[in-house]
Amino acid sequence: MKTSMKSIGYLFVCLGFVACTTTSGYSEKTESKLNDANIAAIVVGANKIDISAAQIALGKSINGEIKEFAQRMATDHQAVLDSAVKLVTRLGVTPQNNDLVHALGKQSMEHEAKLKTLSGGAFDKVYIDHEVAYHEAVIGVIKDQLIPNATNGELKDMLVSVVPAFEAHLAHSKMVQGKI
Amino acid sequence: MGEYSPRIEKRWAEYAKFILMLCSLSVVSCVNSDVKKNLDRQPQVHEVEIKKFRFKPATLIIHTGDSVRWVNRDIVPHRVADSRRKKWESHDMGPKDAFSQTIRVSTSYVCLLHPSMKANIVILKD
Repeated sequence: MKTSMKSIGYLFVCLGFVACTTTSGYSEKTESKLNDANIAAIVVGANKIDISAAQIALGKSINGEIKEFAQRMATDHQAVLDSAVKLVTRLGVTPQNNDLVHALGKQSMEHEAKLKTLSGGAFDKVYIDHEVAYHEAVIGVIKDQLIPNATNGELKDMLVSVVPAFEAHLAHSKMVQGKI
Repeated sequence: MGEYSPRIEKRWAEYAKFILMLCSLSVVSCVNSDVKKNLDRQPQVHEVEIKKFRFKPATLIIHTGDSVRWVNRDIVPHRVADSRRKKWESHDMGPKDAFSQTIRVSTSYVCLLHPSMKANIVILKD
């Protein structure tokens, strides 16, 4: 539980630090103000991360509620990902990684590595706790960072339209969390 | 006190028969009117839009026997079912897909894939 909370705390740090001032540590230094290419990379990355975690859950969990939820995440986030890729391709926006994408990727790898060491109820608990925290954090980033910074109208509309999906997933994850 | 007169009695009997006939006609007319009203009313089809993970309208008021047609305007699938999951359930509706169901009783319903999505259908009493 302690480790789980630490992991969730780190997730919030990862998703939150984009709001800070200029950051360094990567070759392509980015500023707190995100451009459309950064936003596209974050949307693509955020969906891929949740699909990947769902696939692990589908392979490891034997709990019906967890498997049903994981299947929903895999299906819905793939649909959002496909839609986002289609849009940015049409707009001619090439996703450009930034510090947030790198941090998300690193945190995701650590979370997945941990999931792979767990089984049974312990696996289910860590998976669903992380899903609740992840969706809460991503909703915050979309609303507070991505939507205000998007300059292309269609990209902004797409971001606005995916918020209800993440909110429905958050509500769903909390329902499942209450049963685990 | 007047005298008994068969002629007066016959006249009263005719009046009574006439009033009875008027009442009968009135009752038949009322019944016919209700039957006609129900026969004249064709079942309607009402559309519910599924958009941004919400049912619009969230409360739909219809007459018994009307149909409801759900249309999915989202990019992810949805599956609607009455809350008790016993009477009716749609298939997984993909984007732009639709599902129709005749409704005879008031009910609440949900999206089985996204349990936070809930709405109601209320049957209007004639």
